[in-house]
Amino acid sequence: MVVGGGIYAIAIDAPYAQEPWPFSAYPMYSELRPGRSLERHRLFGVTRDEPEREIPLVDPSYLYPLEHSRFYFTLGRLERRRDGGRALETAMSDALDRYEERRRAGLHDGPPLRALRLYALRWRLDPFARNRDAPELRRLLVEIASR
Amino acid sequence: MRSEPGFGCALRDRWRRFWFAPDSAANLGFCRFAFFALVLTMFVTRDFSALGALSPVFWKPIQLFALLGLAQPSVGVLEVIQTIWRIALVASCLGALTRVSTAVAFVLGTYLLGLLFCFGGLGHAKSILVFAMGTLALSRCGDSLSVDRWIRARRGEPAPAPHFEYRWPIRLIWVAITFVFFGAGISKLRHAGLAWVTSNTLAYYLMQANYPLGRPAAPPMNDWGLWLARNTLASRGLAAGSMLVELAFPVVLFSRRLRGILVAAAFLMQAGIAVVMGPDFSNFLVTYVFWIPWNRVAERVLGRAGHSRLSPGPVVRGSMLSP
Repeated sequence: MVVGGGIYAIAIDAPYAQEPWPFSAYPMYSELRPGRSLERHRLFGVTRDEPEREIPLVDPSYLYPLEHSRFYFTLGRLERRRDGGRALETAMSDALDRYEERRRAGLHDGPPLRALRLYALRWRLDPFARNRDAPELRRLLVEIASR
Repeated sequence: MRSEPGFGCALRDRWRRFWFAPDSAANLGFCRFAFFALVLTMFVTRDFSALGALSPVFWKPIQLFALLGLAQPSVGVLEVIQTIWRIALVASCLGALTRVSTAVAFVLGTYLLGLLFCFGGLGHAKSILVFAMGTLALSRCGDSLSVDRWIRARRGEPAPAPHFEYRWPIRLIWVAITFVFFGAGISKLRHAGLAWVTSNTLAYYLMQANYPLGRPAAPPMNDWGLWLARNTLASRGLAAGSMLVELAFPVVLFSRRLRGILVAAAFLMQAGIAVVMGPDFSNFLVTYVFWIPWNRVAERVLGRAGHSRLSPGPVVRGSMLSP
């Protein structure tokens, strides 16, 4: 079964979402990256203080119980859904509610948030990562306010 | 007149020896102890129950869960399941009611680890734990260095002699590990070909890891990856080395001489990736316990070769160095 499943998973090399877990072709980092352009969709929290600040939601304690990679993988999937808009807003509201619940419980030290914004970000990768905090593109996709 | 045994016979004999030559119960017993102790350490504080409170919008069951018709569980159900799993891990580690405890650890562990992926992505480092737990559940890993063995000894039962039952489980886990590395190598060839080595693809991944908002995994331990990315020879050399280790890994099943080298190289590769790129392989690294011939290590450490309490009966080559 181990051998058969292993061969099957390698043979079909299914995308992550359709892998016959726990069997896998282990395709992580196998894609060819010919250029230097990096694009990501990331959530930012909008603080309640004035003037408002935006903090990136990448810290694991902010996104708990989902890990960083898992959370953004799912967000990407929801964006691609036919009812993407509504599903995405539901997911973002859920993330904001959990962030606030955990903040009030003292489970992380992030600031109080009044909204979440999803941005499309793009960088041209620099071998010294000097532009790590300054993407060349920053486009707002969705914003949801605290309920 | 008898003819010389042919290639087929030699191959069959080698196959039999690989899986079924007598081996030490203590070696398998120590692997069981170390493996479950490490799994317990990693998951004892992990709270799976919070997944039950997530909005159903996140829920997308993996094939296994869809096939079994499993829905998103409640917080309460998950609290019960994870408590039983932790107890089963402790019992498996100690070798108490080993057949039952390892079976429970496998079934509930598969459920809890699989559940993580019903909310997005897949954890490739975790799937090897499922194979290892499943293999141990089917084995006689509680026959030595266990509470079960201690009880049997008190009843006057003799220590188990070397037997094939103590060999195949470790070999099966080796095969599962081999699929991981070989699969990763094949995947690179399939998706990128040799350009994975000759292009700057690894340099790209090394740079990406240093962008806090852009990386797909945990942060790297330092920014050495940027130095490697700037040095074309180093990054392409590392890419070539990684692909070579992955594609050559099946050799560990056949060559005693290369086994140690390839396993050490794979370990260093995974540790190196964690240091300069961030992905967490700690779950996977646990399974390296199965490569170490613990009975022989114990004999050397205790300086009691041939009389070790860990090796009842004749000393049998156990792991890394045996065919």
